[in-house]
Amino acid sequence: MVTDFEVTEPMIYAELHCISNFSFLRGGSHPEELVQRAAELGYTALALTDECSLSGVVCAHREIKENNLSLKLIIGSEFRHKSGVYVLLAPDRQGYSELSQLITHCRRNAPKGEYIFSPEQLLSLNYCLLLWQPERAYCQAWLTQLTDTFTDRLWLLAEKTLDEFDDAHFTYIVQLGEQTGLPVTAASNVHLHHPSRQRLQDCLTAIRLNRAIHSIRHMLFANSERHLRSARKLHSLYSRALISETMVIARRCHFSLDEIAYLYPTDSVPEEKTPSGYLRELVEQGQKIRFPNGTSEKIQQTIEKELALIQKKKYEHYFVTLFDIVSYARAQNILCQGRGSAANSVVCYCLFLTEVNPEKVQLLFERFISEERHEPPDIDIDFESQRREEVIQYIYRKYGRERAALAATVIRYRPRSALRDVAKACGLNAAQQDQIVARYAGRYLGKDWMERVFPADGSAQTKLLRSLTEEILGFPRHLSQHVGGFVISEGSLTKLVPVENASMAERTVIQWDKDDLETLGLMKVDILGLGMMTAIRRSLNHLGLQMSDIPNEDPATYKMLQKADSVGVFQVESRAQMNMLPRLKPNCYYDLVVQISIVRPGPIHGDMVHPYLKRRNGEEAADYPLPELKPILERTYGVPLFQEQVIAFAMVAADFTAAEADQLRRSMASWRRKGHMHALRQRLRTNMLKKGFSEEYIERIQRQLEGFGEYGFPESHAASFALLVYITAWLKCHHPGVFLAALLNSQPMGFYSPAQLINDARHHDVTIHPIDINQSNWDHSALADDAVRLGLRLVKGLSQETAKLLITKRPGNGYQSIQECLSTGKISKHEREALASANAFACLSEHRYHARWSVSEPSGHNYQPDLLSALSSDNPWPLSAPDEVEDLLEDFQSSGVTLGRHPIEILREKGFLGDSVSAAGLRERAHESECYIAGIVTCRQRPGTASGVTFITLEDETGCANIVVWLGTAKRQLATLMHARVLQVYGKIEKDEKSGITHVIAYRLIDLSHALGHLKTKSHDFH
Amino acid sequence: MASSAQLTAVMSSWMYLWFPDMYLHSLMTDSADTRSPCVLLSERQHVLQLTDTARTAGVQPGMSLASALLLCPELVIHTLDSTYHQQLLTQRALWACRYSAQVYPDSPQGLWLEIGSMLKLFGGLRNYWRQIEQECLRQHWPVQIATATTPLAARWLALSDTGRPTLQAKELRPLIDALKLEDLQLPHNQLLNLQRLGICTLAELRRLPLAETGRRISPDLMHQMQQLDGLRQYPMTPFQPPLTFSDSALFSHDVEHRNGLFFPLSRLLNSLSGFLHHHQLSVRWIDLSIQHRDQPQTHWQIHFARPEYRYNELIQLCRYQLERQQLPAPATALNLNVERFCPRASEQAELDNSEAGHQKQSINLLNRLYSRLTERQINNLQTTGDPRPEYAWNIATPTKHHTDSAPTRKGQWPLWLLATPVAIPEPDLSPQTVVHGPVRIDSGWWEHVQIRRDYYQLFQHQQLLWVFRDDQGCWFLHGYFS
Repeated sequence: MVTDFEVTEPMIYAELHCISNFSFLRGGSHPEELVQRAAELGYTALALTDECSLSGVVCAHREIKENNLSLKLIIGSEFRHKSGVYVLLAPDRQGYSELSQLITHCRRNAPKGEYIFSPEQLLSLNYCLLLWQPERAYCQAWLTQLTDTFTDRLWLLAEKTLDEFDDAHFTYIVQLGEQTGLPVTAASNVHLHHPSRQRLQDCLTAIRLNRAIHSIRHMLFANSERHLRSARKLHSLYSRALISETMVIARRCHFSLDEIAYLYPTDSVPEEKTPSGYLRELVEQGQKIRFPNGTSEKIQQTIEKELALIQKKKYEHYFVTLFDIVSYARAQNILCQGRGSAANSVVCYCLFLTEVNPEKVQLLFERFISEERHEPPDIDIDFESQRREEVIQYIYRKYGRERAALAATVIRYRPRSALRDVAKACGLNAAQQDQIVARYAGRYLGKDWMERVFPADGSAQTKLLRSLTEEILGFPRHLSQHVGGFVISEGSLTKLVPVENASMAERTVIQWDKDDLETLGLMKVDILGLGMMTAIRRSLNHLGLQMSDIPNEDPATYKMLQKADSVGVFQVESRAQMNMLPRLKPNCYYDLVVQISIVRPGPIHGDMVHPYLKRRNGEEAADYPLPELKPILERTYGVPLFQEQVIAFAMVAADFTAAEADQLRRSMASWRRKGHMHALRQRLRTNMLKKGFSEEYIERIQRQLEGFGEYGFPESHAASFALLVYITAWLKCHHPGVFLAALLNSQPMGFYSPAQLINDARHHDVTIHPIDINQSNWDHSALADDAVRLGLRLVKGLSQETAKLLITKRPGNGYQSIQECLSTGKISKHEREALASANAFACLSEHRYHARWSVSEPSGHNYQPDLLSALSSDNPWPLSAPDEVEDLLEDFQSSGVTLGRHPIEILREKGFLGDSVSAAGLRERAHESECYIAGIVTCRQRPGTASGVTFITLEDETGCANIVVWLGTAKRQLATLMHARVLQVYGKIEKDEKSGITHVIAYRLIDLSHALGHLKTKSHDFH
Repeated sequence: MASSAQLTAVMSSWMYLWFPDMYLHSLMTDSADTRSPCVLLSERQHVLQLTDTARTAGVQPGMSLASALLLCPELVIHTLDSTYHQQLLTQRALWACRYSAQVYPDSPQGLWLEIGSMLKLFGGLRNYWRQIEQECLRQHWPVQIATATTPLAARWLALSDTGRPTLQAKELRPLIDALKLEDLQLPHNQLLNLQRLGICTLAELRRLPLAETGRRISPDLMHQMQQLDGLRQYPMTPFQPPLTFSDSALFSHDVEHRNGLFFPLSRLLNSLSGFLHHHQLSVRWIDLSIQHRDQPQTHWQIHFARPEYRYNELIQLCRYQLERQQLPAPATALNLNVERFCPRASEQAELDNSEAGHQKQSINLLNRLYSRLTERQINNLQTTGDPRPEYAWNIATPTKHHTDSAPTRKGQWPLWLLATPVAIPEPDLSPQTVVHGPVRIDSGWWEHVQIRRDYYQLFQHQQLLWVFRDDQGCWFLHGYFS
């Protein structure tokens, strides 16, 4: 039997028909694996010809470059039609553009993920080479047409895959070549880099057809021959002539993705001006506003330096384009701010791309644009999320769909989806699939989840499922749209990269993702949405301020943050951040940059947090592993915290070249997953050992790199975010009412529900007025003296349209009766009842039950008060009025917010909580004493960074208490932990005197969710 | 209100039996079963019913299977089969027929019994109640029982498990007034609407004017209140015991040979066919019992390959089968019984398509073959599309629907395939002998029966052979081309 697994001598062969796993659910190998294997086998060239797609080509291109593989990559694509398989190859730049446009055309005319191809489209191609594998029933006329169009560019494609069709098909094509005189070439219809992937390929076929493998046996390939085959085997299958023809074709293809000449859009530069002249003009205009008292010499020098660099790299259009987008937003009063490497650029500050004043804040890092490398600047712009769509539509309007499209995000198999699809393909029924997926159970399993889902002593079937799951993880599944990365080009974008439809109507995406764009140096503008921007804009509008008007380094603001009093503050409101605030005690802007970067997987996995805190608090002296590292690590006391620091660190401590460092940064996301990263990791280790670093330290750095991969958050982004942290903290500190109203009006966003935000504000002496049909507007309104009137938007089930109608028609002295109010227009029964139950008619009726009854007449054209009915609103209510608990339950049901007593306070008064201490009382208790504490569960978190720990936040009438549940307790009381809404905990108090942080280590959890129901015989579902 | 209502109210005596978690309990056959945590899932994989042990583990009704498994990994899972559910209730209704002449099933797991006429027979309500309770206990059926003077009142009392053995208005009234609305399985929206008016019990609901309640909350609710008080009839469908067909032919003279049975049988089949037409049903088999003068009855069961209802076909098929039977003794009577039927709708729809004629013919043929041969002698050959020759076909029983068959692979495979490949010495692979090949087959991993073979067609000894070499390099003969 012919075996072909050994690597053989270099050979003269080019594989011209090869699909990767970017032909979704068809190809069984990553593009990287294919080029690696082709190079190993000594192929001269490999054409990547995914089905109507160029999605995988950049991965292959990058892999070849990064590993210096001696393999020529040919760009092509496969189109399937009943008249045969057509493989188009791009010989040159024009051919590439043609191919890209053809793919775009086929994709844009079809629903997302599909394409419509008709062979007639080929007749307009002037440059592409065509390999055709005709079906027998081809039409003679069609052959003539093709031969005429593709003079000297057409080959018949004969392939032997040793299956039952081979003989007939292969012989037929070779004979056809002889009859017509057309040249014939051979290929292997490659789907796999190695035959061992056939199992996975069968599995993918089943997933694609949404059936179990055993029921689609007729659709499976009979063998695993569609792989990259050895020279020996190819020579035994194909004649010398066929093989050498592959080389003829390969030699004609000399296009490389490096040739993609991307041109920035020039629209925003007026015709009569030069790009650099115009950019300078814009910067100078901005300078006058940003530095009204004149620009200091130092700043001016920086500006000159930056402008020179921009000119040298020809990035003027990029900055002018960004300026144009941001100017549009500013003109529409849409708040925005840039982040990324631009954050320390004075030019960006003057162009209003960023708000971080470089004069007041010391420049944090060296690089704003890399001079050595061909890499576009990295600037993300956050817009108010409620209005981001306006900006996106502006871009489409200005540049047209021909020139602007969103970058793609490749959706890949993750554990849950992999388990589900593999189980289904292997014929497990729905309940069995659920059982396997349930065993994964995501959050409650660690990195060894595979062992837990598939026990080692399992059956052969279990082992099979496991190995297939392992292989499919990370496989691309489909393309989705990037959150906001726009690619804009000067000419037609489709000549650069195919564009296809996204699932959202009116959206189009290119076939490359952000890594691909970066590899090829294409400009991407990230138009991101940030809910907090809306809240800031609303607050600033109310106060009549600009972001730049907010005083710098306000001590009261920092004092508030040091107490972890940060509910509602951007980025630092999470439980983990709140834990860090009293330890880190930020007292300047740069501390905030550190604060938001330190509670991240990178520094935590690298065990860098504690050393940093110790050194910062002066318990330990700063220390630098190497003197050369001092400039890099000085501002963090010798502890590498930021992604940029770790990369610079690698360059100094492990002698990485700029290119290697760059590779390191890009590959961090796959640090653990991909085998080929091993080399880089090994190199880091060897070189650091040579320089005298301890094994333990190296291990930490490596873990930190892994951590950055999970959630990279560089300093350049933190710098801009820190500004938003400061601004929101300042607003909360000095204008809590205004800030609360703005936060509530920007929902949904952030970490806390409206009820929690309101509760917190009440603890800060903000007066909250209830929803009132005669006082409330749609939005929540900030009133004088830190008071807030809740808006009608809080009423569940009330439309904005109805609310606006009620407000517009409201008389100056308010509605005098429910009837008057409801006669303003057509208001549905459902909405009338929603208002009544939210107690909006409190000023006009006895109580909400009676009000609800009064308005519950069936809908007519207009509300007709029924004066004759036995129980109109004038008659007394025959049943009891709602008591405190009923009011509370109704409040939660109708608006999610209650202004009455806290439910826990009521339970405490009624004796349901025994001698539980309150959250405030906890602080009075001694360290290590034991107690009961009860509250409403407002947060339940199991961060990946804290192994096995679940954090619970319990809210009561005095504030919040933090509970820590260790894994053992969690497992014993999983049901209570997962489902309790009102929870009592017995446990031990742990107090850190220095930071004042107190939490309770839970021993026992008691579910009191039904206690409120028991207060009354009537029970509602209480949320 | 009470006095005027009584004038028009229709009062009678009702008992309602509510079998909580009937489906799940029916699956528990011994006490070990009840100890293991067990759930019944809806088709959408949500928990419908559960055992106490599952409840203790934190599983709740309505929970998704994934959450339930997280809480209780050793959970035993059953999925609801609505036909079985219906059958269960039918069984209970049949059982209840012993206690009442008028049984009304209330899907999915309740029964009404009209008891007014039965109480005397059972020695009063308390005895009647006790007897039913004990019988349920004996059968291990959890049950909630209530009696009342209207069907709805009995149902509601049973649902909230507050029934007492009484039919006295003054005793029933407080029980009914105390009913909590949330226990009554009212539509969710209706219940929520009432709760949000502060109305939680029937007594509270009664304090609002009924007509207004109907207008403002739901006309259905008003109707239910009237049904509760007997002012409006509650719609119920009486239990129909399952359908059977039984007909007999008595002979004036003893029949000594089976041929003598054909004439009386044709009459019975004629009336059966009429019955089947009337009810739009078909039969898969009929039971014939033959009475003898001094011997026990003879039972013959006659099966058909496909459901049948046409007289001509029925008589033909019976004739074929009876030809193989011998009468053990002279017959005095012939009885035809049918207890199981199948609905005819599906079959007719099948015949409506374009291939109807052809298909009908093949059904007829199959039925007749089936009547001649025993069941084991007739089978369908099905293609599976499997790349491995040994698995490319399988044998299916004729009742399996023919669409299970997959398209054939277009390979050049011999018609005569050896049951087991025969080892052969390495053949001559010169171009003169190799007609075709190699064809490589490397498949079957999903069943852990992977084969890796290269197949050749060889022309040797004036025969076209199908041989292969396996991955060990051994050669085998696997078939002959005709």
